[in-house]
Amino acid sequence: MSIEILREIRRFEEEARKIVEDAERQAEELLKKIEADKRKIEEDLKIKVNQQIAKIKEEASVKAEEESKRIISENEKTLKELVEKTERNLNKAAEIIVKTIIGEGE
Amino acid sequence: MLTQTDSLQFIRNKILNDAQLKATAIISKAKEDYEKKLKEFEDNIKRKYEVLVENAKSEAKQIIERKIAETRVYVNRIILDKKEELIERAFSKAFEILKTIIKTDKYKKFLEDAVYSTAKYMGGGDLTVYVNDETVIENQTLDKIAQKVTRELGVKTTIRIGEKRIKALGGIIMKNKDGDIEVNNTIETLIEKAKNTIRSKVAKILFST
Repeated sequence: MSIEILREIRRFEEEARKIVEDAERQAEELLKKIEADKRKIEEDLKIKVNQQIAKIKEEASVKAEEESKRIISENEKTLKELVEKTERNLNKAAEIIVKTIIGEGE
Repeated sequence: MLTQTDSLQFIRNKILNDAQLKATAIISKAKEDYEKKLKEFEDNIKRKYEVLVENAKSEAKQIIERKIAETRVYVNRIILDKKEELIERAFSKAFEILKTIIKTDKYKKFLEDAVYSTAKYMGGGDLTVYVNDETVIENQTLDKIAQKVTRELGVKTTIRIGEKRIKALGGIIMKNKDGDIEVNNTIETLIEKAKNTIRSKVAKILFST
């Protein structure tokens, strides 16, 4: 082969080497990009999850208050019934006490 | 037959095609790695945050349960306080009834029984009975009771009315001769005692349907 041809072939090889090097650089950049992408994914997810957690806690707090109010309201009804029922038995209970004290009963 | 130019072109194409294939393979591999690593990371981080969300759900459940438990304790306390108040009302009502009874013969009988049982409880002897300003108890009645106690206990017993008057709705206070033993059976004390002894019975009557 003539020197001319060898030179041409070297030029082609150089061109090929540049193509491969360029691909390797692109691959390296892609791998570098991954760290930034990971941070982005984590940050986005963190914000989303924090919002979700805040919502869960807020809903729990509201539900707890509602349950508490419901129990107190039920208790008010129970108390009212208790007082009404007791009013009817008050004289009977007082008479038992009197009987116990003045010795006419147990 | 190929010319030299054609041959060179062939070689060039071959070299560059090979390079291009290698470059494509490198980039494909990098992309594949990139996607795989990102996916792995995303899956891991999602699992980590899922745990946080589950913890928050569990904590939320506990917040609700704790509030319910606290409220139940609070309302139970209110009911218990109300029941105590109602029991006290029954005793107050009993006191009001006793105020009317002390003006009747029932009270006279109660008083005599109180003197008798207290004298016996104290084991007889020389006893003094103290009553309030309104109470009248004849010496003759006291003598009869003393005789009965003497007979039953075999201990000579005398009972006299003390000069000092007590502040009570009714009932008696009895002391022995030396004054070192005293039994308080005033209405007020009997009510206080009854609060301990028959409280559950009163509650049962009050809160029965």
